[in-house]
Amino acid sequence: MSDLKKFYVLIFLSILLVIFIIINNLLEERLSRDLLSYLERRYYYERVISKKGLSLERARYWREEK
Amino acid sequence: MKNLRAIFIIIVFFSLLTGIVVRKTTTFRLDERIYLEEIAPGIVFYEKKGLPPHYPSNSNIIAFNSYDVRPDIKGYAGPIKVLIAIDNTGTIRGIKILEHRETKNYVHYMERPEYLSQFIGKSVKDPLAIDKDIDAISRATVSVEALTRTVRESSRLVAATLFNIEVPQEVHEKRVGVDLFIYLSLFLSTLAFYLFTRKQKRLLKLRDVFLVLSFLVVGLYLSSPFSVLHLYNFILLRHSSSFLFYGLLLSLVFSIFVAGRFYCGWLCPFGALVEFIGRLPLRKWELPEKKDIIWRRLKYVFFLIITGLVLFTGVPEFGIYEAYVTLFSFHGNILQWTLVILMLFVSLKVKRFWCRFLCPAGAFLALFTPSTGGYRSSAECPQSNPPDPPPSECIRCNKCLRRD
Repeated sequence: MSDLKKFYVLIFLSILLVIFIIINNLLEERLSRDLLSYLERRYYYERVISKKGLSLERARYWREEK
Repeated sequence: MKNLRAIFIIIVFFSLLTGIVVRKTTTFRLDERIYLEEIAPGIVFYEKKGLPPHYPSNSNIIAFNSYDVRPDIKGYAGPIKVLIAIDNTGTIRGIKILEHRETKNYVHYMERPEYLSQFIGKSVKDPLAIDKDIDAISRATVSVEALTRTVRESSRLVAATLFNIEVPQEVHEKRVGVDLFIYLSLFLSTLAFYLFTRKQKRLLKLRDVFLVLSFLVVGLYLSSPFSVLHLYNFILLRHSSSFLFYGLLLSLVFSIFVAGRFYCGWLCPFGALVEFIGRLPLRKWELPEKKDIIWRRLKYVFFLIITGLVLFTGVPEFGIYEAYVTLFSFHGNILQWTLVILMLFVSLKVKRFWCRFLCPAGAFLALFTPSTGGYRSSAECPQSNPPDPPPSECIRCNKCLRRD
């Protein structure tokens, strides 16, 4: 393989890596955090709040004052 | 280069303005209340009220957001917002970091429950200070100090106001910018030596000493190579409590106008490392000059993309792909470490591959490099520049400077 071809392979790999890193930053930093916190809230609602007859909207994050 | 500079300025203004407008209309607001259960399990909290604002509960515990109490305490890139639960004896019962803008590579350990658990059970009367009863974290000193001070001062204020607990008086130690002094000493002596070797080639071999020093001091000791994150945090008005942050940024701007990409050729610790690797006696790949020059534009493409992305979203961490941040913070994910290893290995075959084709900090410095002639390039060029290189590609090593 010529030097130029090796260089092209290398630059292609580097571009891919940088793009993956940026995409990973986006997913890790914001999207996954939003998704995870939604799943946590949903799980808590299903497990505890729905049994008390409260709506998800009213008690999305919150425990009602007893 | 003028066109690129104009594109950069347009992207900065456009993404900043649209970002501000979009974020104002569709703000994602973190609801701190969802974490109350986490910091004080089993306790029922009521709506926030009072001064300082706090969440009362059905027991002797209250919770508060430190940012409501002491918004003025800042880390490396702004305040660290912490949710804290304390009881009526002034004992910290729970703690969680809600939000911060520190570089996550450096502060990943600070956010972990194992680290934060050392605050739990401590009284507001305890020292709550680094190296006394709270562990420091190397490479995250400024952030950890800010976190500790935030917890200490906000808890004491809340305990004194709401529970009438007598708390120790805050003693504000006068901070001495030791890191800044070390950095500026290195910067000024290197710049002086650079200017000296423009006239006197004999001592140019000593440039290696400065490269080793930059690796040891800027890279390993200070852990503060110039990163585009410095630039983004500055543009986004994320004020830092670190003198080094401003020292680094101002010295860089000054050096661009005096000596172009002087930082790349003399002070960048990653540049120093890859240059030394590149000097190992292995045959280098031969690249046609035209292709070489064309592919060097890649660094501008990435730099402009992440500039738009970061300024639009207001989240500097989105843009982190810099190999030196991963290497000198000793932290990164598998992709970031793969990039670091690839860049180190490839330097054996292509001189300063990272600096020539990918480095966003290099791209920023190159954009504003003044067009000073006098460099003709030679086989010794650490960047493998073509003859009469464009000033934006010259890292001012002075090896080929024409002195006539």
